[in-house]
Amino acid sequence: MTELLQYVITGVTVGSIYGLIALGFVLVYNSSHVINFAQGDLQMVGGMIAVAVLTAGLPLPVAVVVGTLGGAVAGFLLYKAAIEPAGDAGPLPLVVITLGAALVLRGVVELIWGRGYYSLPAFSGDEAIQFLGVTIVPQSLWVLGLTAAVVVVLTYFFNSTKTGKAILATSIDPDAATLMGINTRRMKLLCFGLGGFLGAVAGVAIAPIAFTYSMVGLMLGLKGFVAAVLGGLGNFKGAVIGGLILGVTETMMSGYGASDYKDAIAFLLILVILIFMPRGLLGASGVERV
Amino acid sequence: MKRQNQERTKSIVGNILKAAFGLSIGVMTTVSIAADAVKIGVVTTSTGPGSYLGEAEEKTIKLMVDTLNKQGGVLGRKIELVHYDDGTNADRARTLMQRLVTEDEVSLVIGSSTTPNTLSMADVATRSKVPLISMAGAKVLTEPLRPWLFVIPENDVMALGVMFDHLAKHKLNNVALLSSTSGFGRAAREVALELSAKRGDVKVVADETYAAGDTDMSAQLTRIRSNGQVQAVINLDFGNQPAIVTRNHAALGIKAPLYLSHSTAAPKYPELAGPASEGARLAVPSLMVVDQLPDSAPEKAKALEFRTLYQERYKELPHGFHGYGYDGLLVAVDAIKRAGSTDGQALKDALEKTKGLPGVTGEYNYSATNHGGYVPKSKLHMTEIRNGKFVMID
Repeated sequence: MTELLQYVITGVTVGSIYGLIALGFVLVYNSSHVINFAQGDLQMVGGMIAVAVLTAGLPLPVAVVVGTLGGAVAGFLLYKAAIEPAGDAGPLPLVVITLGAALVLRGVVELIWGRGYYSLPAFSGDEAIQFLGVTIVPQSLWVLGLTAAVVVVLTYFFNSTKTGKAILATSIDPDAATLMGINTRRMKLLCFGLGGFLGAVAGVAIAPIAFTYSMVGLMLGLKGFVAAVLGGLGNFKGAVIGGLILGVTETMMSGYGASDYKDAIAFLLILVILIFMPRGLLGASGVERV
Repeated sequence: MKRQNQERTKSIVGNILKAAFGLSIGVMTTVSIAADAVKIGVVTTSTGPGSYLGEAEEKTIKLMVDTLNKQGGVLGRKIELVHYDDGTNADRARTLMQRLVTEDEVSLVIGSSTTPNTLSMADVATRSKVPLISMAGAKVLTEPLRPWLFVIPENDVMALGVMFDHLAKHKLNNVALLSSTSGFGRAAREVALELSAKRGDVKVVADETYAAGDTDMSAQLTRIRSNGQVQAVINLDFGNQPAIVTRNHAALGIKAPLYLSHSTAAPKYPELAGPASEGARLAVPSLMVVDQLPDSAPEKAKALEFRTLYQERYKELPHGFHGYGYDGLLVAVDAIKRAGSTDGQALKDALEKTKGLPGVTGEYNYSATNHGGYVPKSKLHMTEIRNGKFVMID
């Protein structure tokens, strides 16, 4: 029984990491219909900047704030330097551009900080919490809490604020949005900035658990993307649920089955879900353009 | 991109040299002077997953070539280094080896940092009769013997043997394996299973794996914890994940001590894992524990000297893998000196006559039938992490 509980808890903590990264994918997808494959690397940039600030002798809270803002700046730059010059290229070329941007981000980080591994101290100590024989690391609670907070804030932002609605309008029909007086370019810029910020939040929160290094965005970015697809691209709650399902399935497989096949089972699950529910668990919001 | 940069750097350096010589002696002589340098090719895995190995070796070899040239080079000639990065790609390593022997016309090649990459280069070495000195350590490199391939580190079977000796000595006879499904982890796991079957005094009672990129191994460790037989946990991997395993191991309060692969031996490991790494045990190369070595150790003086040099230039401490780069160049230069020429066959013969050559990770001995350079006793030392430091233990 204790084991089962431990597997569930571990699965949830792993899953919330995937979910937090998935939120960044969904945010950018919602506003520009672009799958930003540099999302994982924006996360890495946030973590690395936070580590650099901390190493420079500043306190952890400052490092966390600077790191997340650094991610936002990287997001803005990504839009200004790579996405905007591409003009009216469709979503597919833009996706390819983000793949290239990911390589650039990785390269720049390697030039500045090398290829080593870095860690951030946990936000509230390393002492593991024991509960009913189950171990929880406090940092996991931070990740869980942040994930929940981000979902609430984003849902509110897109449903109830003017800017949020303007962003949605831009993604649904840029021409109509322009006619309505929305500065679509600024909305997209804002979105990439927000995406970078969100990625960096994930990066800073995850760095104490999984560390940060130039390649960290590759694998976690992929898992985050899978979680986002699983939940139905475009839905914040879906992304988090997708992440949790992925995390718990993986952990159960390592716990009860053979850990060798855990990734295979996770991806099989995705195939099954997408075959029977092609729009993901919580489906797209039905704004598909024809 | 990287390669282009390297080429550009090389050609810039070349041009500066040419200009310098040109000013005093004239262009025609430049060619003969350039040809007079002893050309050594180096392939390291400086990018990609194996970068932690290659980067250390690359930095070391560059530093040591500069140092040697300042002291007058070898055979009264300067050493010219032609370095390439294989990006953890075995095909690329092969291409680069080909290029080193045909285009760059080097006398000898040091490389690469990993076993698959070395294997793909070894064929080219044999065909073109250019000695290859590898900094990778799997047993398959020296068994069967490849006439043109010489290996610097001791092989994985010997390295794991040090850990198993320690386990057996402390009556930790039932162990759990927790290995990565990466190439390295899989190979190490097979070696461990084979060694366990052969020795009989260390039994594998649990065998778990995790994938590259996993951020939490609590599930596997929980399963190991619930297995009452387990007396020690062995993690076989490199990079950042052993640090995650260490933290999970501590958080779950597992009593069985944690043993790690010697590939984790770098100051970065206790730094990443934090207080959780207290009590973790692993075998490390001499360079990591040079202060704790007895003065009688043949490698001590050289290791201390190298550490000072390295710290001056790079402002960081070298670890075990730097040592393999150092010793690779050392063995090569020693052979060139004794051969008195840069002819491939002469170099191979000289390499096979290497006797009692002290490097920074141990003493090197090769023969016509032994290209592994190993001595009867392993060159690694068992250590335990105490207060974030590697402390030698019995």
